[in-house]
Amino acid sequence: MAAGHPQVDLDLATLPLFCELTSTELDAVTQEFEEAHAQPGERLLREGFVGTGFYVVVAGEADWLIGGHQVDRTATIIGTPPKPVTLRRGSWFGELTVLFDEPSISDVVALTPMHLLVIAGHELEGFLRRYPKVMFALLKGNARRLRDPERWR
Amino acid sequence: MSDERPCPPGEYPVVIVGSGPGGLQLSYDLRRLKIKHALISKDIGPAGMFRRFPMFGRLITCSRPHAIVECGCPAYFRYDWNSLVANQTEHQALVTEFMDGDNYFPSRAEMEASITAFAERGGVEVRYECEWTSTRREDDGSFVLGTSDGEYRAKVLVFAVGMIEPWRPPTPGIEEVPHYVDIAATGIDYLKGKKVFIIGKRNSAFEIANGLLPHACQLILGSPHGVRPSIATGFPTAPRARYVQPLEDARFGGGTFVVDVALERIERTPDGYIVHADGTTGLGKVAFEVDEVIACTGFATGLGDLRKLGVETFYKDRLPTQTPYWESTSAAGIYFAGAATQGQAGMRKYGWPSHSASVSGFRFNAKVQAIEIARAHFGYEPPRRRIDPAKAVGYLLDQATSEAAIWSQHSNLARQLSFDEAGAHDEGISVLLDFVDSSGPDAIAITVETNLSGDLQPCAYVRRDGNVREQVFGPAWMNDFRTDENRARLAELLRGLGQNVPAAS
Repeated sequence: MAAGHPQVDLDLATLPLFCELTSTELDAVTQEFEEAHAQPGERLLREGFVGTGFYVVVAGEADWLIGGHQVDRTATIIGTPPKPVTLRRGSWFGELTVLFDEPSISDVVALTPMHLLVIAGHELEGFLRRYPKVMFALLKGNARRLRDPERWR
Repeated sequence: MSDERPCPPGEYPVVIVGSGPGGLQLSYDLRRLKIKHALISKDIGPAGMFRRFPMFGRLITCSRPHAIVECGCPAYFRYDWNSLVANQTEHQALVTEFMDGDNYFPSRAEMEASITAFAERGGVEVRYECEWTSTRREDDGSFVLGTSDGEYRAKVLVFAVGMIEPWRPPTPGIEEVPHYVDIAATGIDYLKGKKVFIIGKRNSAFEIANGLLPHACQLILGSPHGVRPSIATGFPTAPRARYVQPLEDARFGGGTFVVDVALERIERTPDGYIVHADGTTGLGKVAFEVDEVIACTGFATGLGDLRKLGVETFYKDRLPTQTPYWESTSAAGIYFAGAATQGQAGMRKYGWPSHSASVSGFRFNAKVQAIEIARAHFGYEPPRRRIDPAKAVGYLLDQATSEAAIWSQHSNLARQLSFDEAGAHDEGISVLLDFVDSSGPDAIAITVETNLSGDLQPCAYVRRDGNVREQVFGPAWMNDFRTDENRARLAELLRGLGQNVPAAS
């Protein structure tokens, strides 16, 4: 395997979003998502675009940008000064755009080769209802971002 | 006796491996662009895959003998998902020409006949029975392709080798059971009167289950995930309507079971198999005692030794990672055509995958890719047809309503017009992913997309002063988007592009 984009063992049980699931549930969840890859510089979310999906980072890193600038995503919510955020293994993004059915307020741009899981926007609600443990983990994660952006980063 | 086969070993600008529809379409288009190349194939004739698959004889993609547009016109290919696309009428070999009229899904033989005729009429030369065996890169960046006939040297390699290598998940015991591709060779006679467990719930699993309904005494389809057929998802990659009879049989209690289980292991017994599983929807552990098990667990691209050259993969090592123009992201100069192009998933708008898994989508990929290979490696300048700016709005809405490349690749391919002081230029069919993420002159790219409600709608991507913005148009009755409202909105979007472009339609 060439350097820079190793074959990734998904090992979803180690991701915060899925760590409460049983092995049987993990098998099922693996099939709910599609696998995706991205190269450095590739945009995964596009500011102002609709129809996105919900992504979970399995490997690699990405920048979260608004108006082309690196920002802390909580800054748009509680008015804190912008701080750079890097999305990495275990991070997720795209859920707000999907759940609000609104254009994305941000770009997410790959910094390194990335391996991701993605689920279509229109399938996210059904997926979360089928897996309430994942919904709760997502709720906790997003609440933590609001309460403690430093820790989240 | 001399060997009169074309494309003998030697040096070529491009070498294509594979004589399926992907390789033939690309060769046809490279030939039109005067890019010299060799096309080699281990098969004895075109479309070798269709001699074996689909197992039960008919494709899952349709070709309408009667459409609301003239057979063979550019818009017709919206209604014909299988024919390769010729640039000249005399090269056309529409699948319907070879169909008997009983079904709008062509048989394998009908598909093979159409592809063979396309190759003959289009002058596509193939060296058959020439098997690719090795690949290496020289210090100057060129490639050496080892084959059963000798070595080929090329600046660019294109692999159109299909996606038919059997793939199995790492379930203990699964290596002991036949895969879908094995059943194609053995036939199904040995399954008559048997209890059969089919691992998987995608098209190959439902195809086999559907075919076994009159033969097996009991069918169990099992995988962790519930069934979401194409008529529910709208995705052509989901189990297709013509194969879901077993689902109805299961709902009616007719001897078929479709179960949501995670497989733990498969145990071989003197009388058959025990499939040990755990229900993913709450019923707990279960052991299915059956006579036979078939793994319909998917397929992989046959990449040979390409990983050693740096070709990276994803999707559990089943697909190469690719750029917008289907070049390896990690091994420059190595391209993919045909079904492997689904490794470039496109924009994923509303979760829609590309249509690159089937001929309907990848035939248009090949046409775009031929131009890109010619441009990027051989200095070809694609022609830019001048468009009367006053007619741009009408042209774009015509394209959204009827252009087959756009309809066959929702959100992935688009008609692009650019604008400058000289006016408007038709840049041809573009890869949308590349358009939205690259810079360039003022331009517009229009495509169609399927929204969250399942409705088709046009979407325009407008690049102005280097920034690309998305403009979604609403659905329209009968998918005819040439409405007064759309004309007015589009005219407004075009206003001022490339400076003073008239906005009238």
